[in-house]
Amino acid sequence: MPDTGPQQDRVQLLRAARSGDEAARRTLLGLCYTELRRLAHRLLRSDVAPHLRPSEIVHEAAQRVLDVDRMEWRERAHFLATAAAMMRQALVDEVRRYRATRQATPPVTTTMDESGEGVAPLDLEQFDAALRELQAIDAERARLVELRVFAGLTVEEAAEVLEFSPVTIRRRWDVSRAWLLRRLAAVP
Amino acid sequence: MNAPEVVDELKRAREYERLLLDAAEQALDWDPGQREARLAEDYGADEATLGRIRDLLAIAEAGRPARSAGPSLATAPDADPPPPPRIGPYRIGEPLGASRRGRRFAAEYSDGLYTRPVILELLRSGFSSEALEARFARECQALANLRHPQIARLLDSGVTAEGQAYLVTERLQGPSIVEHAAAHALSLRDTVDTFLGTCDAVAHAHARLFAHGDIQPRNVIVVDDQPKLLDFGVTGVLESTMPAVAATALPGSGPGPDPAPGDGRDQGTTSPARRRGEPATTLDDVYSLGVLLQTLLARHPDAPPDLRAGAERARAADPAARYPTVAALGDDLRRWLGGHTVRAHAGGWRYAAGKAIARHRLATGLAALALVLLAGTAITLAVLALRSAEAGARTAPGVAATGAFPDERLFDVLDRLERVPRTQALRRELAAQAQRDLDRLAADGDAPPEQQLELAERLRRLAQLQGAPDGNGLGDAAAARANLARATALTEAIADTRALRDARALTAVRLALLEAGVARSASADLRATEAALARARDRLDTLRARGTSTAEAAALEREWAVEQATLLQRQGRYRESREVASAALAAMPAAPAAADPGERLVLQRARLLEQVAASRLAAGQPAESIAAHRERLELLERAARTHPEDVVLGRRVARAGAALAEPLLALDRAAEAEPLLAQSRARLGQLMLLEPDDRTLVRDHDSAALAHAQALVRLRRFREAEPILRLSIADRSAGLDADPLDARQRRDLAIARASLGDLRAEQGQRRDACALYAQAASDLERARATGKIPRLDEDAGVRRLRAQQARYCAP
Repeated sequence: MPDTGPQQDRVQLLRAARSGDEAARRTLLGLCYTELRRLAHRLLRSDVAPHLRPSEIVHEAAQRVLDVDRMEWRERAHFLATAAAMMRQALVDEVRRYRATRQATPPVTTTMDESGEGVAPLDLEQFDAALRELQAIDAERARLVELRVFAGLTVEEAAEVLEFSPVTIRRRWDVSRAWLLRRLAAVP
Repeated sequence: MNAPEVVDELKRAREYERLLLDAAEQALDWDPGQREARLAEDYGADEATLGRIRDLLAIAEAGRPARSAGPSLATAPDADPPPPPRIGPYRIGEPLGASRRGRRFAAEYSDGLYTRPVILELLRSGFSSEALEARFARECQALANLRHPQIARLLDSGVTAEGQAYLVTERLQGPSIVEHAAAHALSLRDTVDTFLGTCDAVAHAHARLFAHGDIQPRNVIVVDDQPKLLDFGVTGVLESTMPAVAATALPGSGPGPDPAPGDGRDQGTTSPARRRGEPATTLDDVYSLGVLLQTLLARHPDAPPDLRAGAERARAADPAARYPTVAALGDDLRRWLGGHTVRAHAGGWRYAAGKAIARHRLATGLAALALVLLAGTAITLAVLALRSAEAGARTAPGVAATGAFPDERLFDVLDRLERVPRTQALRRELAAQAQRDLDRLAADGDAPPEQQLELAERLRRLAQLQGAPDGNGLGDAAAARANLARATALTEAIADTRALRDARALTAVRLALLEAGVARSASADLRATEAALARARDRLDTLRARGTSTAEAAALEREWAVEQATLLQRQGRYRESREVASAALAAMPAAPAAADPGERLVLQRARLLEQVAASRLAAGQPAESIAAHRERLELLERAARTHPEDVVLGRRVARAGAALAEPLLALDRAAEAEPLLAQSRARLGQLMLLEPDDRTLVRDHDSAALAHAQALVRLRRFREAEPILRLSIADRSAGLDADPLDARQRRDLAIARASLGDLRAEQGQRRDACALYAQAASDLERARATGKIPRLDEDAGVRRLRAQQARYCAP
C-alpha cells in the first residue's frame, strides 16, 4: 500500500515526522506545498489587490497542515525552516502560472519589512531573482532571508535554527535586507 | 575575454559583494559615533567601496525597529528547594521520591481534632496564567469526583500563596501487584483475577473521560488482596504547562524508595506515544496494562498461548492493533477465566483481517486503508462485517426466522466509524448494504412482533446514520425520513401486549426524536419538528404514567429536552428554551449509569449548555452566556483530550470555542476571544483536510476565520487579520460565482469586506476603506433582497456599516 500523498493521516504523519521519520516529513512538506499553492491561487484570482505577504500565507498553510500554533516554538521554527525553500518555490510557481494565463502582468508584490510601512512593495518574481543572486554571493545570508520572508521566522527563531546569537542574526538580516533593497532599487 | 576569465571576473564580483556585506555587518556592531572614523581607516583610499558600505548601512539602520528585549529564553531549572514544613493543614514529612509531575512527600493532615496520613505532592510546574490555574482547580474538582474502591482518591489540591501547586491523595501502603503476586505465589487464575480488578478500575475512569497515562507496577499496589490504582493524575493540565518534563522525565528520578527487583519500574510500561510526550489517551493505558499483564505472566511459564496473545495485543506498538478499550481487554480476560477462547488469538485475528481487506475490493477501501493506522480495528471490522452480511444474505431466508439479524455487527461498526475521519464513502457503502438487508427483512410481514420491533429499531439506527442531525451523518435526509416512516408504521402495527409495551413505547420515542432532529437540521422544518417532539412527549408521559423509570427512559427524557430547547431557540422563544434546558441540566446525574456510555451524557450536557448560552445571549445577557459557553467548552475539551481521535468531538470542541468567542466579542473582550478563535480555526482547518467534501465543516471554518479576523482587527493586529479577510473575500467571491443566489455567502462576503474596510480605515487608508464599505453595502442589499437573512442580523450589520461610512466617507 503506497502511503504517500495527502490521503495519509496527518496526525500519524506528524508523530512520525517528529520522531525523525524522513518519509513522513517529506509527505508533510508535500501537503504544505499543495495547501500553500491552493491558498496563493485563491488569493491571486480573487478581486482583492494581489499584494502578497508570503510569511502570512505560509503561516496559514502551515497552521492548517501542521497546527504550528500548538508546537513548541523551537520545534515550530525548525519545521518551518525545512519548509522555507519549498514555500518560496510554491509561491513563485503559483505567481508564474498566474501571470502566464494573463495578458498583462499585474503586480504581485511583497514587502520585506516587518512593519509593512515605509518600504515600497517588491515584485515577487524580481525579488526571487535578486535572492538567487544573493545566494550565489553568500548562501548563508540568502538562507536567512528565506527563513525570514518565506517561512515567517522571527529573528530569535532564525537564530535558533541557524545557531547564531540573535544579535548577530539581527545585524545579518539588516544588512542582507539592505543589499536586496539596493539591488532592486527599491530605496531612493 | 575567454571563458575562464569570465568565470574569474564573476567570482571576483561575487567576492567583492560579499566583502561589502561582511564589512557593513561588522560596522553595524560598532559604536555609531566611531563608525565613520573606523571605516575611513579601513577603506579610506577606496571612495567607491566606502560609498557602497555607507549606503548599505544607511538602509540597514533605517529598517531597524526600536530595540526590544525579545522573547526571553527558557531558563535552566533550579535545584529543587526544600519543601515548606507545612501547607495549610498538612504537615510535610519524609520525601517519597519524584514522580512525573512533581515531588512526593509523606504528610499528615491534622486540624487539631483528626489526623490522617496522606501523600502530598508538590508539582513541578507553575501556572503561567490565572486561566490555567483555574483550569487546574476544575480538573482537580472533576478528579475528586472520581470515586472507585480501587482508585486512590484525590483528597485536596490547591496553590499556595507562593504559587506552589500541590495535590493531596490517600496514603495507601502495600506491595506492588507484581511483588504481591510473587510473595503470595498466586496461581495463574488468581493473578488474572487481581489484574482484572485493575482493568475495571481503569475502565471506570475511562468511562468518565479520565486517562491515567502512567500505569506502572509501582502505581498498582495491593491492599487487603484488592488492587489499588495510585496517581490518577491531572496529567492533561499539568503536561500542557511542562511539555519538556513530560517528554523526558519518565523514569522516576531523584531520591525515593528503590524499586524492588522485578518491579519493572522503567520505560517499558510507557506507550510509544507517551514516550514521545504526547497527551495521555485511553489507548496508552491499554498499552501499559498489557505490559503489566506480561510482567505478571512471566511467573507462569505454563500460561496458555491465548492469554499471552491477549497481553501481546494490548501492548502492540501500533495503537490500531491494540484492544480498542480497556473494557475489551477485560472482557477477553473474563472470557478466559470462564473457559472460553480469547478473541485476540482466535485464529490469527490480524492475519484474517488483512486477508479480508486484500480480497474485498471496496471502491473506497484503498483510501480508507490509510486510516488503518488510526482506526484499523474499526475498518477491518467493517470489512469483516460486510463479508459476514453477504454470507448471511446467501443463507437467507432462514436467518431472519431464527431471530439473528445478519446486520448486527454492521451497525456496531457503522457507529464506530462515525467517529473516524474520512470514512464517509465507506460508511455510505456499508449503509447501502444495511438498507438492502433490512428491505429484504421488511418484506416478511408474518414475522413475530419481537422481530418487527427489532426491525423498526434497525431502521431507526440506519436513519440515524443517514440523516444524523448536527453530526457526522451521511447527509441523506430523504432516505432517513423514508426509513423513519416505515419504522413508525411498523411500530404502530405491533399489538400493545404487556411484554412489549415498554419496549414499543421507547422505540416510538426514539423514532419521534430522530424525526424531529432530521426535520430541524436537514430541512429547517420547524412545524414538523414541533409535531414530532409533541409525539415524543406524549409517549414519554405515557411511560411515566405507567411508572416506567429506567436509565434509558431518563436518557430519552434528556434527549427530548435537548431537542425541545433547540426548537424553542429556533422559534425565538428564548426564555422557554432556557427553562427547558436548565431544568434538564439540573436533573442530570453527575455520572453516567453503568450501561450508559459516558460520552452520551457529555454530549447531552454540552448541547443543553449551548441552548442556555444561546438564550442568554439572545436575552441580552452576554456575561451569563459566557459562563455557560465556557462550561460547555471545557466539558468537550476534556472529552476530546481523552479521545483525540474522535472527529465528532473535535468538531464540537471547535464549534464550542467559536461560540464562546461570540459573546466575548460582543463585550469587546477581543483579547480573550482571539486565542479561542485561532484554535477553533486551526482545528476546523485540520478537520477540513480530513473531510474535504464536508460542506458544513467548510462553512464552520469560514465563520470562525471571519470572526477571528474581526477579533484581530479589534486588537489592532492588522497584519494577521488582513490575509484572513482577503482569503475570506476570495472564497466567498468564488462561492458566489458558483451560486449567485446564496444569501449566506453574500452576507458573509459583505461582513468580510466591511471588516477589511474597518482595517483600512484604522490604517488611515480612507479611500480603500470607503470603496470596501460601498461594496459591502451593495452586497448586503442583495442579500437582503433574497429575504433569507434573519432580520436582527441584517439590521445590526446595516446600522454599523452606515455608521462607519458616515464617520470615514463623508464627502
